[in-house]
Amino acid sequence: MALWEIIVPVSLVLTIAPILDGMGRKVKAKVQMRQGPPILQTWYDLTSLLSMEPILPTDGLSFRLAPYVALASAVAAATVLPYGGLSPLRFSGDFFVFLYVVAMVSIAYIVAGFSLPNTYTNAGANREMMMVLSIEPVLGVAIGILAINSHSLCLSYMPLHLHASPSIFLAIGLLAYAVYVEGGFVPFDAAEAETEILEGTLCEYSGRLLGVFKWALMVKRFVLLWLLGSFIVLPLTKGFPGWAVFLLQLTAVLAIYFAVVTVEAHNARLRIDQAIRMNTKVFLASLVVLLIASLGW
Amino acid sequence: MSLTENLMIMVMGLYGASVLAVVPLRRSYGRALRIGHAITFLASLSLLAFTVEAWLRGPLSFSWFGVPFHVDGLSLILCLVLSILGMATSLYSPSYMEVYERLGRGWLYVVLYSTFMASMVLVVTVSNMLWFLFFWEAMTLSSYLLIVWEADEESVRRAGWRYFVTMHLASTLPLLLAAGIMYSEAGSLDFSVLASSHLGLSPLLYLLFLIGFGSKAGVFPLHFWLPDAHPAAPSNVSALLSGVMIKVAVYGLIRSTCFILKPSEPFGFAVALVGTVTLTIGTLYALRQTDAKRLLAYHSVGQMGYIWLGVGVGIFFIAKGGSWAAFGVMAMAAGLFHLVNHALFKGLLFLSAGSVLYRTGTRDLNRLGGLGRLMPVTALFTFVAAMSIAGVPPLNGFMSKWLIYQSTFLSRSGWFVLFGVFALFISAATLASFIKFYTAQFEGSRGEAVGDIREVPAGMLAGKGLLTSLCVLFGVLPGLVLPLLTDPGSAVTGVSVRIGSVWSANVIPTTGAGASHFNPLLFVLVLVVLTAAALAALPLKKSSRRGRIWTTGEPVPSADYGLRAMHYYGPFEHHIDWLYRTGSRVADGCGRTVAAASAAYIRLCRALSDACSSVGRAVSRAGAGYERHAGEEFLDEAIVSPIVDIIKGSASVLEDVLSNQRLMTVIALAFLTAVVVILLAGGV
Repeated sequence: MALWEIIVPVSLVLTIAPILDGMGRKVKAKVQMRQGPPILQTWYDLTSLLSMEPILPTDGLSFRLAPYVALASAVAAATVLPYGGLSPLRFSGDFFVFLYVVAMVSIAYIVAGFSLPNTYTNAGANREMMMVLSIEPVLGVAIGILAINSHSLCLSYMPLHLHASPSIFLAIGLLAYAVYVEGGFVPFDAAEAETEILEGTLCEYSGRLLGVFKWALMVKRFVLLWLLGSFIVLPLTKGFPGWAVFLLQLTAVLAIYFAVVTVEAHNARLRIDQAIRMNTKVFLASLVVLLIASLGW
Repeated sequence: MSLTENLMIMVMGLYGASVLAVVPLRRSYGRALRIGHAITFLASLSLLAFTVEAWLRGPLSFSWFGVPFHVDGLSLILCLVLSILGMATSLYSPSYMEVYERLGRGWLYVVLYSTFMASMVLVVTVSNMLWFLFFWEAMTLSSYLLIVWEADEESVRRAGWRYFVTMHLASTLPLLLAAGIMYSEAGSLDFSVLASSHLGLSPLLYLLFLIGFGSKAGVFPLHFWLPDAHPAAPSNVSALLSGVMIKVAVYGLIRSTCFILKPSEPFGFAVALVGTVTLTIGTLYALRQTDAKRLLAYHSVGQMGYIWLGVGVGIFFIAKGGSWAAFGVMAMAAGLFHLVNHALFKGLLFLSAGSVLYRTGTRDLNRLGGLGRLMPVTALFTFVAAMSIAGVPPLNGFMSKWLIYQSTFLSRSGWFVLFGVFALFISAATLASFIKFYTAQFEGSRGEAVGDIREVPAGMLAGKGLLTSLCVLFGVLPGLVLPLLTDPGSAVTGVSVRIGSVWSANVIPTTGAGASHFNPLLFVLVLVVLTAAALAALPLKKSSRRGRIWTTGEPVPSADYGLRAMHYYGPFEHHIDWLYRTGSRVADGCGRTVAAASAAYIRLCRALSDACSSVGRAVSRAGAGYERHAGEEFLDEAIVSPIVDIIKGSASVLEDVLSNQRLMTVIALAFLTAVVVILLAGGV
């Protein structure tokens, strides 16, 4: 395993994630008939935040470490995904390991939020936890159907061994829904609601720590979108050269993200109880899909 | 006699020695505990040596005083757990039991502790159903007496009584019936004879084992006693109850249905189904608890569900056989791995709750908070345990849950995948619950029950530190225990399976194309390097300015500005309220049935107890008469009088113990059970 095989994807993920966010802001502005900021605006914001010294509301260790752990987990999750024909770091290729490493970003967010006696950060952490709780069964069913269909849980093997069937299309749809909710996109952004609870956990963060945390959340979104993009692109590009697959993955992620942003631009935030109820409904529907899949369709 | 056997004798000898050592120390509470636990620590250490030695030497059979023993991989898994928890609680208890000094009877506590531990070691090694039941009863009785240690509290007595009666009606009775059926068919109760006599695969036997071991393990709907009983005991005992005793039931389940009977597909499915329902109900109930130990007890129910799910899927696929046998072995190893891991982190969590109780005097999460700064080491240990039970990689809880996901999601069966989905969902609920458990105690502002306190004494920390380091070790190097965990499945199927080896961190649950793998050691390296890189590239200066918590400009005191434990996850709990209502109704129904049956049972025991005491009075009258008239005797006085003295001495000891009526009834109850066992054994 050459060193560049690790460094290139890691730096790629770290650079692309904020640019993707900038592109999203632009698209959203266009949809809403606005001029919008330049594409690199998120980068500018991030670099200025990272250069500023934070003001700490506490000297608790969990509060100070959480942003770094979140960023490290998000990047670690990125390294097990397939990029073209390449998976950079092979500590695992397993879907569940990936899922739990991504979840560590949420855990850092929640623990940090509960580490302070502040109603706003507590509310943010509380909502994030409930969001994870309510979406987990949907995600589980999606993975279950993909596993039944491909007989594997290995991320680089599953997409290449899916058999076309009605249930598999529905499973990808469920995966897309779960990625959307886990990514915290509007209308499922109750945990980071700016106008309502001062961005939840992020309320007490400032300067460099805020920058690192925001970066981690952007990388997490990118990683989730890359997962979804891979499950759409890889089954269709068997036998293509690695670079072509990689470019197609990238295109797919961009396309998905623009679609996501368009949906965001047309929606308003759901209350947390509404979001829970909606996720439960999707879960109940997903059970029907599981039934279809176990019948072999 | 081999070294292994000698080690076993040493274990039993040391437990016996601890009893003998503390009986003379009836007057000094602290010394009895220190000396007693020093010896039990050595006993646990010998048990560990025995485990390692027996594992290296292979299966072993021997007999003591006519009692046959057989030690194989399955026994050793439980011995391992027993030795680790035994060491941890022996280190922890001497300081912790200071809380109970007002109750006195330190020596009796040590006697019960040693009896409890020794009985569990014997249960998992003995190879005769009759003796199994005998030790099983000894375990139940000693654990009952430990649960009601704080017997001056009404709630404790009630919880203990519920436990005791439920165990006899729903655990001992079905097992006795099963033993009777097997005896009538095979003519012997030796495990080896039973296994080779091809008992008909009668569904009744499976059902009896399912109920008998299920009620001890605390699976739904027979779990209703557990959330009352486990928190009622002193925390070190709770750690043993949740850490080991309920695992002994899993041992019994596998031993009886896979080794004595044949593994069966419908039975495996039933175990997995029961496991899934249990893990869902148990954990969702735990989510809304705000009493630290009650929350942990509900999680014991939930985590037991995970173990049953793994074991059930294992039994199913082992019974299916053919190319699925290896998969079944992996699934059973997953369940057994969770058994070991749950013992470690749940033991640790109970010890941690005990530490907080020791210092603050409360276990109400609403009244705690901000302990992290006052008890930093306990905070760290609790955090590791909480993340471990929540299944955060690379800790041990993640490894076993991950293997359980592999064994459900790759089963190609819609049902098992659905079970896996519930396991995944409940893993998130466990996370939620333990983030609450940790943050409500150790983070945020100081709770009202938190005064000027300091860290717990070194002995308590040592016990917890041992468990913490094993939580990390078994997570990062699971290969250390995996060969032992696949052994029972391999022994049943004859298929040898390697999912991880001793010195490699890599775990590969399945074989063939598309097999997953996970290398937790490499993962730790990646995570540490990335975190260190982030910290180095974007360092946080020590001189960073300190600000105050943003209260939107209002002067709010910080204690009133954060959430307390009862405020966590309100909307979600409201959303699943229907489940709480249904679950309570079912559990109440079971509880009422047991209560009604126990009323009849107790009437019988009272009658028995009265009869016994009238016999006792007659005997003591006769004895007194003998003493009056024996003045003239010469030769036999010299022989008899020491015996009379011993009896008189032990009677005064017993009087000490048996000062209340209920305890008399308990003894009668145990006596009754013993009589049934002996009657049953009449033909052996």
